[in-house]
Amino acid sequence: MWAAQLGAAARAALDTVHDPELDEPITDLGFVRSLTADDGRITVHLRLPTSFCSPNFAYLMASDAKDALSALPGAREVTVLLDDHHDSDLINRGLAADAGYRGTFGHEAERDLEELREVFRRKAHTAAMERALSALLRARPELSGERLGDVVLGDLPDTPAARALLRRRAALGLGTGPAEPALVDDAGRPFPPGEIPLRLRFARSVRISIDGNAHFCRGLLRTRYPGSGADQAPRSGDDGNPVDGTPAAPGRASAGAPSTTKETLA
Amino acid sequence: MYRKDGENYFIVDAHVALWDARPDNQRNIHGKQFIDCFYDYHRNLSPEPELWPYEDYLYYGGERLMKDLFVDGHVDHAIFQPARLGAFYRTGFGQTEEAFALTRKHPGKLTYNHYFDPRFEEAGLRQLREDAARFGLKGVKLYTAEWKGDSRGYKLDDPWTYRYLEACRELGIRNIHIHKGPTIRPLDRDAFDVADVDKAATDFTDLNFVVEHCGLPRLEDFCWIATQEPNVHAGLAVAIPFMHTRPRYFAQIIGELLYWLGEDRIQFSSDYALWTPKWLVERFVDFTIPEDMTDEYPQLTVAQKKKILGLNAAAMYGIDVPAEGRLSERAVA
Repeated sequence: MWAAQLGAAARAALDTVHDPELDEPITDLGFVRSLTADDGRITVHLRLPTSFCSPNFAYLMASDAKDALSALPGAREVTVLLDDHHDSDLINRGLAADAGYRGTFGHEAERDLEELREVFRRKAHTAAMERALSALLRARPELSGERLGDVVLGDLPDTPAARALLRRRAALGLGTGPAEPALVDDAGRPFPPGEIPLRLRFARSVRISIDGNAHFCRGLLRTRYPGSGADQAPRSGDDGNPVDGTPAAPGRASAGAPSTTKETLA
Repeated sequence: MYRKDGENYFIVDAHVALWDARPDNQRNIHGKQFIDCFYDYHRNLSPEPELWPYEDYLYYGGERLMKDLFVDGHVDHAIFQPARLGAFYRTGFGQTEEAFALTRKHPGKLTYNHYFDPRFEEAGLRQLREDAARFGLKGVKLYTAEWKGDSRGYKLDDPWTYRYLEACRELGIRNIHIHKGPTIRPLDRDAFDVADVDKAATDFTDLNFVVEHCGLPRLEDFCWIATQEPNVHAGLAVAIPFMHTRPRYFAQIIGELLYWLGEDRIQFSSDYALWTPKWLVERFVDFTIPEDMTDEYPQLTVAQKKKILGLNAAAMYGIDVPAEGRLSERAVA
């Protein structure tokens, strides 16, 4: 495979790797520092907003990246390196040896990271549900209160928010048919009518929390790595902060993100 | 006392530090990584005129602290919340002796909280008793991601932590400040999860649990447990500087906290020297929920701001508030 082709395929493979906590591809977040692909050899350097980002999430993203790249037909040798993290040495050794999570972290690892992934798949679903239902409520305020419990997926207009919700439901193993109730718990069960306002309210705080973290992490990455803003795509679906604050960092490069309009919450 | 538009605000800065992160005190690369991480937080969220040079940020000393808090910063009382970080810094990150000496030199201005680490087991319990007597402790600051040997964290519901909390109860240490960090054992789970705080708060209803930076990055988990546990409080460290870079996000945070916790369980903190209190106090007093968000979040009242900026922490710590700084009957109504 030509270097350019392999490079493009590698970039596309990295687009499928998500930060589970922020529910976004690592490429949009600017976490891919460099990518070289030549003669079947792919080398990727990853960077994170701080040295003290959680090592379990750091490991997940780095090992998912290695898995995605290793699955490419033209990839003969894949090296993924996490830069500038307090556990860089440990994680990079583990990745090089394909040691797995337990092999990498030893006594600090008990079983696996599946439960962690599942917790954040649930949060991503809750946030997506709130985005889709709040948009519906703005258009049809008569549905507020307990009537929201009667809303089914087929009632949602075909918007990016509704499509994102369907993908989050599929990831959790929930039904995606038009007759499925839209406001549900993590197991797909509707809430008792009396709990509906509270549950929507809680879903909103989940959404605010994830969106807020995503903005903060983007900003910290730009502060830490001047110029990295050029590698970030804007987060869509976040109506809380249409104007991104420009941190006042000395010598910091412009935070101008590229004007891609792709659906970042895909 | 900060005065604005005919109102007096008694300011308690509930989370300040006197740290030494200079290279001589760094034990290893992690000491540098840690202070660099703090400095990036500082650079990312501060208004330009409030930025410090890196050298100043490594160590600023007691005199500068007094000036930044009490001369320039409108603060009436500040509470030290030190982190030990013994695995990263030779004499620790928070400078115990210097901070405690400052507290004695300026009576009535400063409260010194200390830390404990349950992994020191019996020896640490003895130390806690000595520290409580020496410092007259009313509170402790716990950083759950402190590294110790091959352990990189602990939880509030660990059996040994419970022994320490029982000792706190006995020693009159009522206020437990919790700062969640990225490592915990096992790494299988989310280190920022506050379920352990929930459990401890249920089992120690006579202690106050102040979750620093209001549970961020898990604001939602924090709000959910705080709704159910009346002895769980929110510290505004890290959250409050978002007023500058992202006022709409800050409106959401404070709006959610007021909705889930109410106005009596939120405490102002600058997290000095991460940020300086002057601009935070001034901007918070001036802060309004943006007009187009007032359907979701009611506007903040002057009384709410007074409680958050000082009266709540003053009540928790028994700090005397001069008459002009208290809430008038009118404000309460």
